[in-house]
Amino acid sequence: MKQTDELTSRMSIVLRVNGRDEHLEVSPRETLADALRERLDLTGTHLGCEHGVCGACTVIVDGLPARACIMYAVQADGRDVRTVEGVQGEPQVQALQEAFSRNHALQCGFCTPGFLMLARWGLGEEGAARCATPEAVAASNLCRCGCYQGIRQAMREVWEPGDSGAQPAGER
Amino acid sequence: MKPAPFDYILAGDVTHAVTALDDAAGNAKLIAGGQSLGPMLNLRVARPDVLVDISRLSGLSYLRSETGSLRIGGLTRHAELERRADLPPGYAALATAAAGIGTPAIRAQGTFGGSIAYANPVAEWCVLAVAFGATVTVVGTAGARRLGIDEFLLGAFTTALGSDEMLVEVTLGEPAHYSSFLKTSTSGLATTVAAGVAFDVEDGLVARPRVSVGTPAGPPRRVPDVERLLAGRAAGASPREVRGEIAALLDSSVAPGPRVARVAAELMVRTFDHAFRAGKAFRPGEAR
Repeated sequence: MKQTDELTSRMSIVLRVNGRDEHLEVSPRETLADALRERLDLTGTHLGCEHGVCGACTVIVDGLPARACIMYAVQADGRDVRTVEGVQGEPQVQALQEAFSRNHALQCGFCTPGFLMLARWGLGEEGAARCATPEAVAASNLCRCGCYQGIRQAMREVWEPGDSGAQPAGER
Repeated sequence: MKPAPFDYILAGDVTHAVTALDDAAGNAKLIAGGQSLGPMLNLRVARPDVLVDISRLSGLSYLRSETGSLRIGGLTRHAELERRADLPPGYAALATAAAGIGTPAIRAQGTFGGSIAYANPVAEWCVLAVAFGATVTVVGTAGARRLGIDEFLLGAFTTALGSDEMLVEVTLGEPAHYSSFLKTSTSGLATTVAAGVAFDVEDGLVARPRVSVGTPAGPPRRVPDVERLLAGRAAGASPREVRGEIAALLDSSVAPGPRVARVAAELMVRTFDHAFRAGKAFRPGEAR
């Protein structure tokens, strides 16, 4: 195993984060998630499992969903990165957040940013082209509080407003 | 969970990548989509001294249909294969399989070549590459070479890739009128089983069936005995009628134990049925 002097193995990168160019000096092994959280104070991207399974760290890189915990910041050099902080106020995100609240789609809220980012992608042009559905998005990430039913219903309401087939929680 | 330290090289071209591999004398790893390697690095299961990033190499993401074959560039992302409409006719199983790989984020980043090089024996592309009689093109410091998929996939997570070699293309063989892929869920089961089935239909009968099965026991393999059983049957008759016979044919080299053999047989039946229900893929110029 190679012993690397961390201080000398820094690389200069530029990430375009939420529309702003951020110049960072990172170690190659620094994940995109850690760079966002530690260097840019964008802590909305959460670390659940840190090995790509739970999806709490989902961000959008060059328009595509990515699990930030298994992408190294150096791989995002020169790329456009969108985090949950950067989508506040977008009409569809607002609609998702209101629907999440209405449908008990969160308890602790730890998984919520990951679901919001993936749902936002799913509602977009690229997501629609890939036939992303509320069910597919709900099945992609983990919620340890078990709010899947609410998450699916919230997304259904935003995917198809007025045709949500709304059922009271608990009845299926 | 953070990786152990490594140096990072962004490869500018294939020569640069394989030279970097050679320089590291076996202590480097290539990273493309990172959907398998990222978790391994974070868990420190993999501790390369050097990470060679090939994800920005141009000209390695493509689907090129040729007579009797489909060439797939190693950097083609799983998501690019998800829709049957985007694929040339005769390889419908690719879309079925792609749609089931992980989650949208994994499909957006992970690559076809990465999956073949990782050689998980139940991986979609490994099982289908075997079903479609693929060849693999790799490039090393000594140049390019081509291997049959059976020569390339040597065992579970084991390939014939040299330490200075990089996979650049996978070429699938003959297309099929019908094809599909199914896998048991990886969660909760001690053993995962995957099946790939491809076949033509002539005069209402199954012709040129190709059946591959993947289990953790070893590399995915064709099952000639099952293919012989299916050939010549009425295409509209589900192989469910002969599921017991199929299970009996899956010996211990393919299916470790009778329970796995039964699961594999059931999976083959369902894959065949799904392929048939999904409809015929006519080849260009073929009469409908």
